[in-house]
Amino acid sequence: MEDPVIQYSTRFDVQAIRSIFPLLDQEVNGYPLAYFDNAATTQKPVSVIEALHDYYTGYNSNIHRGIHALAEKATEAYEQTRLAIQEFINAPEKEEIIFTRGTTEGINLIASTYGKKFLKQHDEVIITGMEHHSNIVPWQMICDETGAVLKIVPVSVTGELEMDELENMISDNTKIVSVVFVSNTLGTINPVKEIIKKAHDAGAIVVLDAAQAMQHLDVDVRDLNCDFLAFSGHKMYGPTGVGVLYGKRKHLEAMPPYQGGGEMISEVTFEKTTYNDIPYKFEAGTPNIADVVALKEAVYFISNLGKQTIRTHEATLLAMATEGLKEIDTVKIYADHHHKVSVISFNIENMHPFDAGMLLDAKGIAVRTGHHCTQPLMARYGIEGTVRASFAVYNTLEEVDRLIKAVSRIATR
Amino acid sequence: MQHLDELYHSIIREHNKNPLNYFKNEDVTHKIEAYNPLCGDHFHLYFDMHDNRITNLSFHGYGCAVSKASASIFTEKMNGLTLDEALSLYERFYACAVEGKETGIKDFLPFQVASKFPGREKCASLTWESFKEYVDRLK
Ligand SMILES: Cc1ncc(COP(=O)(O)O)c(C=O)c1O
Repeated sequence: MEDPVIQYSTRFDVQAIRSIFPLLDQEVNGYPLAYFDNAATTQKPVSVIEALHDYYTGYNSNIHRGIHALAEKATEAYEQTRLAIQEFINAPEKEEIIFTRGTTEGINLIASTYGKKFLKQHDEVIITGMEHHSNIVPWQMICDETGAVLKIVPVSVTGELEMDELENMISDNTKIVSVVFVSNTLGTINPVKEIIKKAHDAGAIVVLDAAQAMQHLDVDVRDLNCDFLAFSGHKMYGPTGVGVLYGKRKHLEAMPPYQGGGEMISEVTFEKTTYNDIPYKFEAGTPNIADVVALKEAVYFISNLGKQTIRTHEATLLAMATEGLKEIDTVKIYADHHHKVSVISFNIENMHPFDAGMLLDAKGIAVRTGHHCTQPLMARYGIEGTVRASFAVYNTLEEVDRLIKAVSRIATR
Repeated sequence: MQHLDELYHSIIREHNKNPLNYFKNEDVTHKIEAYNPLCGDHFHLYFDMHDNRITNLSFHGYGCAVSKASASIFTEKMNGLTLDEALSLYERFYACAVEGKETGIKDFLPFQVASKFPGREKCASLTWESFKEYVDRLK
């Protein structure tokens, strides 16, 4: 039999990429680390790590309203990231980019401002059966509060949305459709453009949870025509604690503020406060300056490499993993279809995912096990959890080969 | 990780594959639910209790090797004990599986190893803790 590593080999220079991710070069439990938990969080290139270091050693200062040199430098670096994000997602205006703590905060912001203002009793909010808890709970909370009704688009056996059901569900009552762009558990890429078109035809707005999309797919908010898009920096090679919410200007202007405090106001008296313009209306208090500054380096890392290059390499890793794991009789793969990113969820017959994860860890292979914050999706499959391997651009064919061999050994013990 | 083989020590592996007293029994006086939503481990414990003595212990449900083996050993060790004896055995199990202390009980040994793994002491102690909570409420 042909060596699987050679069979799948590409000309992509993965070692050059790995050399700028210092964390990858280590042993875990006596084996070289194979990090396959990228859907939870990716590792960071040196440029991101250095940007944090440079900020704190060179120009740490509070932004806006500062008259001194450091404040100006910090403000400029902060605002440059806004421009970098604007270009990254092709947003029409930089004011439509709001910095948050992450996807979770972005969705909560929309639910508790837009949702609170515009949802009434009997209005409907549509989400899907493959949402992360962060795109379920904020909507449950606001529906409870407003009397709106939450509707769920079912997921097919193969791990795709039942689009016919979605079509039947959308009506004049639909006000908000909030869907996950790419499923963190299955890797499924949802037909969001089609969903947006259908929702808009019915007069509803669309929120995209793009936490798992930015690091793999070309995301162009003008082309998609989504109303909101939320994502996290730490899943796209950036730092933790920072995320982005994009929103169309008309919506952001119509929305009440999220939190009150400094920066979000233009004038405060005890009689009356006038709010600042967007985006500052939604950035109350001192923001996470250091991480926003460093996030720009993550954007440059992705853009310089090119999403096409990233996808091609990851697709090779996924194909190899899928084929290899499929050959093991006792392994069941969820969502084995072609419209997906480099995420593979599986179970080994008669073995709890925890046990499998632990045995893989003993071989230096890091995977995630459990429900991946998608309990309703697990319930749909009648399982409690899966083992999930998610690949990033720095993973190698040799590492995937180790995964397949290790799973094979565990599955037959 | 030299302890991993110890954790998946033959005791755990054997109990996971062939758990003892593994059946539903709705005809008992007490039924306890042991559930950890974090990892989805979910068992039911069944037993009779007359004059403070525990009999007819069995369990059924879903969980990882560690939690299942622990439940299996629970049913074996607790059967026939009085409530006071059961609680004192619980204390010894807790010392071993949560605090990592020596207890001298051979069947508890792998759970002492489990206590060293991040997060795994919850698997080991799930049924025991649920039992303790339940009987505390009875008192
Ligand atoms: C699809 C999806 N949505 C939302 C989130 C939440 O992201 P964060 O925890 O960064 O706010 C995640 C991360 O786990 C995710 O995978």
